[in-house]
Amino acid sequence: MNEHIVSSFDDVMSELSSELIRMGALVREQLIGALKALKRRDENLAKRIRKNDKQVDAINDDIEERVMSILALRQPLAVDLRETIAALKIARELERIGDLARNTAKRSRVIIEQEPLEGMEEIFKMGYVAVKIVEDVMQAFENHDVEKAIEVWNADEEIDEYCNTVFTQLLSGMMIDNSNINACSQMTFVAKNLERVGDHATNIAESINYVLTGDKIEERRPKGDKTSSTIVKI
Amino acid sequence: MEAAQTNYIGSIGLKPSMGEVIEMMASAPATETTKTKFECRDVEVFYSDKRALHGINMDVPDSGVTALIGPSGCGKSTFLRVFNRMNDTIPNARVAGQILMDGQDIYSKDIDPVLLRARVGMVFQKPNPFPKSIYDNVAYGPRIHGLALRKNDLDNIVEKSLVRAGLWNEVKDRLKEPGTGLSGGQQQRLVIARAIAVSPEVILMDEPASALDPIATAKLEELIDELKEKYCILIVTHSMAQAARVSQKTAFFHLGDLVEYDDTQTIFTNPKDQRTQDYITGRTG
Repeated sequence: MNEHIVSSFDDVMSELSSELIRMGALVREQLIGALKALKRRDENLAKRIRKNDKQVDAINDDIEERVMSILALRQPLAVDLRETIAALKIARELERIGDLARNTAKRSRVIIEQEPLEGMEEIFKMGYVAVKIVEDVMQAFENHDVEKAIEVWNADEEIDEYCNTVFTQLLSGMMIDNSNINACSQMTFVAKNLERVGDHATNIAESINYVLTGDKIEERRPKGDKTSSTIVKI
Repeated sequence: MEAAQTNYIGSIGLKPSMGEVIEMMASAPATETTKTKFECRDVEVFYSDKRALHGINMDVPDSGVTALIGPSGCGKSTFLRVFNRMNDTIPNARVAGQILMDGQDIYSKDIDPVLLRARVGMVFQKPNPFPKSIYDNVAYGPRIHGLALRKNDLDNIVEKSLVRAGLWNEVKDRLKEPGTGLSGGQQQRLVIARAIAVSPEVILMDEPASALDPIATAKLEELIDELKEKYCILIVTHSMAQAARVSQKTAFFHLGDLVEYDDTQTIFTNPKDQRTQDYITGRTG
């Protein structure tokens, strides 16, 4: 894209975008850390993740301030306006993903205190997909890549499918041995957290598409999460 | 209309009389029409040999505000002056193509440019009141066009025009004072009152707020917003924000071409042409 005649406008827009990329990287690390803490049953790491969430919130506040200042001082239009508004929305989505990572780290405390659950591979696979989706969507943002954003938008279905499988497994686990209930019920929240990560990444993908094309994605996103109506019978 | 009647009945608990119904109909908000005031076909303007406009095709709706934007020298003011044949007054200027106003060619031999300019009023960048009293400034047009037979009629026209231009309350006690004694913003509204006094159908505005402070600009924009219900308004402005605030349609001109013409919201959020995008976002093209 051509440069602004007022070069400081380019500077503030590129700083805004760098902040978002930094926030995306931090949120990704938070998510990986929360999953690692859970897998390694490492309460110290979980604690660090919970604490680090403040950093994510701080970047979010910083981005909000930058957006306010751009709106007030630069009066952006067209693609600049779309970029500015999208930055605000994307930061909000990333901040929510950060919260979900923190919540996962919070729930892992109870899970760690209980006997280890068996057959939890699926939830970590799901975690991997969630991390990947966040990584991909931020890459699409950084590289102004519409196709990649649309790919992410479609990939959310995979997480939903994992979520259904994991949810059924956890319900069965609780039914088979009720001593698992404490850990399993926390684990269902973890699965739901990861499923929500996918939804937030999808929202980011929609914002990227809007910035780059000026159009909204018209079709309805496929909703694959069926946990709200799942019943497991013994 | 039905909704307006129901509200009326609901609010006072009475059935409106026929006279009231007619009054309500008259004051009902204009329904959305796509009626065209001007049809421009292959409009070209030459200054001697220099072609300033390259075959413009554009329809201007008969109500609402159409903004013409673009960098200096892009042809937007030249295009604006096409609508009331102001280019006729420039030596060596020549207009080609067709401009139809309500289906009638305004450059045909049957059209008297003086009468056309009463139907298509114009407001300039710098307010240009006549060196006469406030009253006489507004009364000037109706007098020369013989629109008022009695002093009383003329008083009415002057008052109505000043009220419509949002100036009446500020000047009603000093109508005999010179128009040039008013502030810049007031002078610009006086000039608009003068244009309105001859009951035009169209008002052309060439950067009407560029010499005004923010308060006077806001008052002028509020006035444009009110006038747009009744008149077809075309405005040339260098202020993107102003075009975005006051207009419903925006046309972007560049080097004598009409690059893009669309709903104002689309132009300012999602323009289709790269040149439009570069201009409105302040980028080097």
